[in-house]
Amino acid sequence: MDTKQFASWTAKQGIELSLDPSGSSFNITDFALKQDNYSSDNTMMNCFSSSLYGTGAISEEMPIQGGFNFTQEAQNVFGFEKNNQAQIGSLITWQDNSGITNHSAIYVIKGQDGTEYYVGRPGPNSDVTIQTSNNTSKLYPNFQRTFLTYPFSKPKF
Amino acid sequence: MWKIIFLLIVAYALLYSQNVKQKAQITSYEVNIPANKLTKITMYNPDSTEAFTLFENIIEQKQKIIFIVQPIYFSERDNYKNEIVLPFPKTTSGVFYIKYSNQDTSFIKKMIFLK
Repeated sequence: MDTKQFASWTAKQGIELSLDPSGSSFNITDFALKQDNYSSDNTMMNCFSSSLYGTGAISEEMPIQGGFNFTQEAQNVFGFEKNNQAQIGSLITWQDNSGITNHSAIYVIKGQDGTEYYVGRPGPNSDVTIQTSNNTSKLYPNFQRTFLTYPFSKPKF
Repeated sequence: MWKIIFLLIVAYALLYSQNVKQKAQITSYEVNIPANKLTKITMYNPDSTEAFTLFENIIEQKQKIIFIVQPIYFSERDNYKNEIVLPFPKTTSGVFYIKYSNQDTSFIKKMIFLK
C-alpha cells in the first residue's frame, strides 16, 4: 500500500493522521510493520508470539508456552528495553495487580481523538488484527501498561 | 414483542463478545497417541543442553497426552479425566524443539517457553 492508498484508507476508516510536535507530517510507511509473514495457521499462536515477531525479536511466529511473566521475560530473554512512553512499533504489555501479563500488542499510532491503535493477536488461536485503546481499556481496566522496544537489528531466535 | 426481545439478546451477545477477554497464555500442549504403534516424543534445546524423552511406548487404544506448564500444573491437572497428564518439562525460558515420531509419521515443532 503506497502513501496515497494509505491516506485514502485512513480517510475511509475515519482515522486522522496526527502531526508530530513540530507540526510537520511524517510518512507512516517509514514505520510500516512487516505483516505478510504472520503465521496463517494460528493454531497455538497467541498475542505474545505475534508481538515478538512483529517487533523483530523472533524470526518467525512460533507457539509460545507460558508467559505469565512475559513483560519481565521479554527484557531478560530477548533484550527488550523499557520506555516511558509508546513509540510506533513499541511492544506494549498489560499487567494485572499481581504482576501477571494478561496481554501484549504492538503500538501503531494515536488518532487525533486520543484513540490508540495496536496490532496483534487478541488471544490464543486468533487472527492478527487491529485493536484499539477503547477496547483494551474495557478489557484491562487499571492495568499497568509497559512500553518496550527491541533495540537489535537481528532476531534473537 | 418477541422479535424485539430476540434482537436485544442478539445485540447484547454481539456487544459482549467484543469485550470478552481471552486468556493470553497457552498453558498446555496436546499430543495424540495412536493405538498399537510405537510412539516417541522427545524435547531438546538447540544447543542440546537439555534433551528428554517424554514418552516412548505402545498403548492399546488411542490416547491424548496433555503437557501442562509447571506454574499451574498442580492446580490444572485434575481438570483432565480422560487424558494422560504430565508436567511440561521446561523450567527455564528459551527456544526448544518437540520431536514426535511413530512408524507412520514424524515432525519437529519449534517452540518458545517463557516463565
